Amino acid sequence: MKKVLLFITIALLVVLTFGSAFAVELTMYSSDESKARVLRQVVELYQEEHPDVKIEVVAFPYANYMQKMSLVFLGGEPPDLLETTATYLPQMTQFLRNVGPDIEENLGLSPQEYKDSTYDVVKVYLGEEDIVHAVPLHFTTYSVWINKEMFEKAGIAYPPKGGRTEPWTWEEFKDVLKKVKSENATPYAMSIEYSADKFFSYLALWNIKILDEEGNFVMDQYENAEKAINEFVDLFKEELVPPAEWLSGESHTSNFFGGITAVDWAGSWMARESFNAEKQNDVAPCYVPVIEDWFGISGGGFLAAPQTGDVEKEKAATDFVMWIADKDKGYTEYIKRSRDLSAYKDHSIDYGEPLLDEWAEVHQVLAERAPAWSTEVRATAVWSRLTDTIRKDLALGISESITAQEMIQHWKEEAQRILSEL
Amino acid sequence: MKKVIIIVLAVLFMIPVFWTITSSLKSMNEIYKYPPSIFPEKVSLEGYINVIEQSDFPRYLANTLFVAIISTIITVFLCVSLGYGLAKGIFKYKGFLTEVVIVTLFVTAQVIMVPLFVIIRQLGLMDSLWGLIIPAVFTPTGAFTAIQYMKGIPNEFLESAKVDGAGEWQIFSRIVLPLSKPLIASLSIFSFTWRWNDFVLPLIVINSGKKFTIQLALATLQGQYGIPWNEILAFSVMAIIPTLVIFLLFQNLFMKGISAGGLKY
Amino acid sequence: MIKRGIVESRFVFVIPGFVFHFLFYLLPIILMIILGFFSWDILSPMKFVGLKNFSDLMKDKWFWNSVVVSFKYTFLAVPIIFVISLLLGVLLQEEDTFSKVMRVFFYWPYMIPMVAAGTMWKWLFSRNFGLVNHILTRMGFQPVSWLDDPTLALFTVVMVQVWVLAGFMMMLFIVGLQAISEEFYEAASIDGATNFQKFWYITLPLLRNTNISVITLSIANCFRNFTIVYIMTTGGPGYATTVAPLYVYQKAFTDFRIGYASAGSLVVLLITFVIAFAVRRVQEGGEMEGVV
Repeated sequence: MKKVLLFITIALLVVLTFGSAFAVELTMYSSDESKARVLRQVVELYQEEHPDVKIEVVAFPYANYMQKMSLVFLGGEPPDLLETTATYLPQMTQFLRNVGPDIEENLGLSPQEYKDSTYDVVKVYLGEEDIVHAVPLHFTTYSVWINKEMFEKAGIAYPPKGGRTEPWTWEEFKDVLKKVKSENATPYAMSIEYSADKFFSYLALWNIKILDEEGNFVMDQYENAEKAINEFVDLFKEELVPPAEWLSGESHTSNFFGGITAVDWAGSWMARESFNAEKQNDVAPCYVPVIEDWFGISGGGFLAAPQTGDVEKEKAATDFVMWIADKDKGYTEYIKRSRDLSAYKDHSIDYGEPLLDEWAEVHQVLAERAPAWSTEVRATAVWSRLTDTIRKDLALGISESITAQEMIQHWKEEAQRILSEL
Repeated sequence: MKKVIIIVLAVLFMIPVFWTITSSLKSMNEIYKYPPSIFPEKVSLEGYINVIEQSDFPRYLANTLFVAIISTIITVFLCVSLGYGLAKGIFKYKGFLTEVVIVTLFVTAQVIMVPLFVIIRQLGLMDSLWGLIIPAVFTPTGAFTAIQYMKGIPNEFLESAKVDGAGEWQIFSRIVLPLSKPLIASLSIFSFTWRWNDFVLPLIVINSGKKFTIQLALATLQGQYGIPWNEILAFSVMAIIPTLVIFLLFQNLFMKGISAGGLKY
Repeated sequence: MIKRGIVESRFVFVIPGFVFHFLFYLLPIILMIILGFFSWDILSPMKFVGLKNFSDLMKDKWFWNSVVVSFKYTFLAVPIIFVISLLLGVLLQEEDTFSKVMRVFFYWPYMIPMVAAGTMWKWLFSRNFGLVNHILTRMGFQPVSWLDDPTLALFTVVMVQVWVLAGFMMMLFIVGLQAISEEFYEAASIDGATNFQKFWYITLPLLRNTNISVITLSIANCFRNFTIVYIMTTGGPGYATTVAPLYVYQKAFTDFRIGYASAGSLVVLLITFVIAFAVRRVQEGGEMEGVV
């Protein structure tokens, strides 16, 4: 009896030791649960192909993600893999491994060729020169979402799929807002989320840069900078945009989906949201209006592999990054499930959902038109630290506490202080 | 009359809670509906189903219960003991030490997060449930409550026990502890609530999914773009049920003793 | 004074508590103070900047504005919390089933995760899709800007703060009330005292220690927590509800200015401590030990 027990124990030990020795266990951090769920689905596919690897996807709250990651890097215990958004990626690059050589080896593309296969606005985030410290996951771009029923009722055509091919001019756009509001008797016309990026996406249409690509403040060099700010603030004052969205952070999605507004100045991610809210048949994306130019500024998610010092795990992590970097392997699987756009040029995805295919076309036009600076400026460390000041000052402007001139002056001072501290 | 006032107040207090529960039974489509409905037009268990299917709720529950129960036991002991020492002790700097406790009442947890992280790491408590217990067992609010309560116990009680030949340990265990039953009951309830709703510590300490607590898991649902409100509401409703049980349980366990036993002063 | 051992002086009872207090409260505060003299974003190396953070702070008008907002917030909330929780405590001090069950409803707001509770309140009071305004307009009134009007927003947020804390403070009052011996009331009844007289001349004075607890803890809570404000208004409109801890938090983790935020926290900590100290002195009016 004793011998049997001993044998079983030894057998168990052997299985356990070798069992775990065969499987490399990796940890991946993700910036919120909804992204983690998509990642878990593709990780499952990967594990079927590679039974020797186990990847655990751990999600953290989006609002606290940079906080968490800063502490993780400070403590020197980064995960093997991490998903991050465009907002946070520039601050982390010093801790990420360069997978450029692996790209060359696995995909047969030089790092430069690989980066050139993505949209210009994505490329900016991937790394300088021959360095590739992150590969793209989903890609998002800004657009204007409309409530189809309300637009039909007001008899307004919208570009490009609603009976109009060219984008509205800024004056036309304001008239559209007024008309759709009065015809539908809604309290407001358009939602804009309380965020500095939303303002940036508007300001970019004026071809106005707040900062240059090095993070220097340049907005005061534009003649019409004040005018652009005032036009933005006037949207709130004329009750075209609900001031509550910028004064107390009222939810733009609730206002838009609830029919308080007929338009949402948002982006391609609304595709997923509309499906989640079962509103996909009621809404459609349109082109942004043309002011000096028209295009959608971009954002999105990236996958990176931090330096952990564990050679075996780093190797396994790189393999997964390569699988995701390959359009023919993991990438398409990921995008299909996340219902986002592909970050690679000329890469069409069969979403298995006609609406998504149609919407992707609209967004691709907006993304392709975007100049690289619209991303480069936001990839600077100065921008990421200036955003809260910008949106707060605009909120003050909406409640008429400060003028456009004072805003520009304040942003200039803040930008210079941030630059001097970096 | 008295009951009417209480019931009216209770109804007012319960409006948001009630709405949380009814909204947790709505579909996302209905949550976005305007004007909002009070009762779900069609009961949807989508939120609950997603929480159960997509997350490891039983594990989060077990982790949180473990942390909350162990911390509560230690917290009650530490606070009652410290409260007694600072209220009834006879030593120098007693007043100063009391102020030192009180000043920490005003500290925002998020603000000392970075130094706290460094200390927790140095102590080797990272990514462990003990890392959620040990740094949190002493709570200034609990300690202050205990000091104030202990001040109310008449010195004569302690003196007469001393005259009868009781040692310091006996005075504490036979006189002070029985007199502190209501304090212990409320501290247990408080401490349990605090640890249950703790967010800062789990955020900085926990790195692996297996060790997540309910609050941390709940917060991860707040995404970059969309927020699955029905899931968040369902999760919240599931998260408060255990605290309700604890509340009723502790209330009965300790508070009964006072009214029946006549241990008043 | 006679020399006593650590057991005789009862010093031994404070040791375990202070070990934890030192490690997880005092030490981090000391480190925080030190950080106040540095410029640091966590990821790059620290830079010593001397008193620069403090001198910048003096000039930062929004920081001082946030301190003022915190004061308004606290002094609006604390008296309301005190009155409501005392009322609840008095009404629910009996250990009968009715009281026990009803206590749950008042303590519930303190237990519910703030993410959910704050969101519910926000939806109730939302300008455009809130239930409250919907009902008001149905009844023929104008919708109210509960959260978008700078003055009103502070009141709305204070109301939610009261809702959260009243049940907690009620529990403290119940504990205090239950410790008062019946004999006091019996004696007063013989003298023909009315219920109100009993409350005013017996209950309130005997509750002195509890009152100090409730007031101090309410002040501390209002000065320390910002979750409610953060969820309901994100500090807006403008800076109208940006309380000091929220301002400091945003400096630390939105702008990643850890040193500056540490300096700000230290200033806030000192101010609040002085206030609380003064409040307690007034309440205590001298030594309180053993007095019941």
